[in-house]
Amino acid sequence: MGLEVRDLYKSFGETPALRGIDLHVASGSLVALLGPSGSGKTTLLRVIAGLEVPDAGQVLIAGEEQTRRSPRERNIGLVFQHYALFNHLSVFENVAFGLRVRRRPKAEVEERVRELLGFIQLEGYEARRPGQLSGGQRQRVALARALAVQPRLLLLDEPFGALDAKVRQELRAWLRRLHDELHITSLFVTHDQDEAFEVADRVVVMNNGAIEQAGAPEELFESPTNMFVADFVGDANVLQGCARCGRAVFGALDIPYPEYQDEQPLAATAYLRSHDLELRRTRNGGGELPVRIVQARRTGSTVKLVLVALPCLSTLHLDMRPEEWRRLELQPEDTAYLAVHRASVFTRRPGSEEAFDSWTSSGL
Amino acid sequence: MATRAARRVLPGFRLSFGYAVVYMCLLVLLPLSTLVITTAGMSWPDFWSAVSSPRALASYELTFGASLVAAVVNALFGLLVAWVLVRYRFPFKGLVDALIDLPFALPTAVAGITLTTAYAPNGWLGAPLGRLGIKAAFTPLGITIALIFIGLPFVVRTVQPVLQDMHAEAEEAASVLGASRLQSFVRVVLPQLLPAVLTGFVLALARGIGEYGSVVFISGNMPMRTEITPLLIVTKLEQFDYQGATALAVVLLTASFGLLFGTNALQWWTRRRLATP
Repeated sequence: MGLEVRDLYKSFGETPALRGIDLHVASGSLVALLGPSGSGKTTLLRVIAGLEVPDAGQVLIAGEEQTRRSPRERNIGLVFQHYALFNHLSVFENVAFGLRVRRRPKAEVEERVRELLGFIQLEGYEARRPGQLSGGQRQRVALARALAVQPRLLLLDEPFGALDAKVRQELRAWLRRLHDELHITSLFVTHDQDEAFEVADRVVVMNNGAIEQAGAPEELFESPTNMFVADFVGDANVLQGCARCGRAVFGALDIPYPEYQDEQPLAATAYLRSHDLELRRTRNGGGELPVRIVQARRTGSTVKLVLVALPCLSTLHLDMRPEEWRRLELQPEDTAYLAVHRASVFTRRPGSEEAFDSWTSSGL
Repeated sequence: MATRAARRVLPGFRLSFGYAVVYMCLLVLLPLSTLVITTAGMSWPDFWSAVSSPRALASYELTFGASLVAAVVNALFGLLVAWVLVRYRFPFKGLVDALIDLPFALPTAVAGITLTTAYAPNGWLGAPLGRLGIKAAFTPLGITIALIFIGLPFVVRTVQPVLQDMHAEAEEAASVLGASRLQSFVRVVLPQLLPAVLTGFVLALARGIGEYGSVVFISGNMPMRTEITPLLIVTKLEQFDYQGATALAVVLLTASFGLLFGTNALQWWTRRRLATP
């Protein structure tokens, strides 16, 4: 059952939290809401769950209007960031809660809860209280509790936020497997892009109460449509320069930019991803950027390089495989050449503060 | 034990422990033991007739009955007041919050005089009540009102911190899971508040049983009708019947101990039930 959000607005007092959100989550997909803290992603989740009333706009599940319904009528599963388990109830009763308030027959409750406890691998923990469980176990109980009532939609608020790195990694893989088994339409909030890209089919990037871009992980990575996404997603090197006559110039880097053909120069920003850059000893085609190597550090399976672009002195970061680095036989303080295979260029049009034109160029 | 204590803030386990024991003996144990010793001077039939005279029995009924009713009322309305103070924002909230402690801070005699003036047949509250055919001052109802006034802070102040620590998230989780407001309250909120409410209830009850100052004025002190046990003790003392007075005091003491024991057992049970890491 798909979820649709139309033109949603919500503000708390004078502070706008959601500014015109349009979102479509296809039935059976797993979508991540990614954004920095304060971007409105949790508010959006709470509006969908019915815990906040929007100022304007609509929420539809399976094409049915939900906006005026109370949370209890929506039949949505919600996993809270801090789980919000009922501390006075056992694990069994926590999972059974939704069925108990629906007054389901005892035998059915018993069977469903056993099944779910098996599913979350917590058989034998029925009588424990939430206080006696580890963070990861509590997280799973919260998920089982949300799933017990067979919700039409599953919402998760920072599902792994409060766990340590190793447990988080395990639970991520587990959530993905769980989704592949159940095919329940799911939407989860995260500020961690690795988490979003690893788990979700589609990622929705939010900033300042609005959606910046939505798409498959590689789409966001390869062709960001605005500066925020280019900057927020992945680690990008940023160069400042200017555009005119169909070219964008960033120091010694000169790349085609057909979006802007005027003679009047325009401020331009280029985002270069580490894996779209190649370090060379010598100039090969002529379009390379001369750089000085400042630092080379081996961290695990990669060498992290810090470079300075020579005429303009912008700092660039580049990751390389150790054998590649060795083959180049370069030292810090050496001068080398950087071939740019792909760049995302954005220009700011005169008179407009927010609109950017973007152009992603590849095969340079 | 001494080596472990040596690393603590207070120096000298032996010294501080000894001080604590002596202090407790002088302040609590010694006066209480004289009470028991004085009573022990009585023969069993004397003791029995002192504590089971019709006048004494009537005073127990009134004291325990009025305290119980007052504590029940306080448990219900104290919970409500604590709820409003924690969950809602309104003007002068800080002032209202501070006013809750007034019965603690006010000398009980002042409270008694104030309540009597208000509830007397010609008082602000007594006059309209009188027109409805309800007599408050100088009746068991008046005593109950005084005890409600005295006991209010106990329930509010025990429930308030628990309510503050309780996140609204648990209620939200319940409503998303399909619980109605009533179901959320009964299944989620109340079970978590109940131990605190019960503790507050027992404290209010214990205070009510021993309350004297605020009650003597409003009760009218008619033997067999509006005479509370603490007042009966004072009356016996004024008549130089020390043994009779101490015998009644032993009864009240036993009741207080029973309630204290009950409170502690309740707290122990709660801690076990809500074991948190």
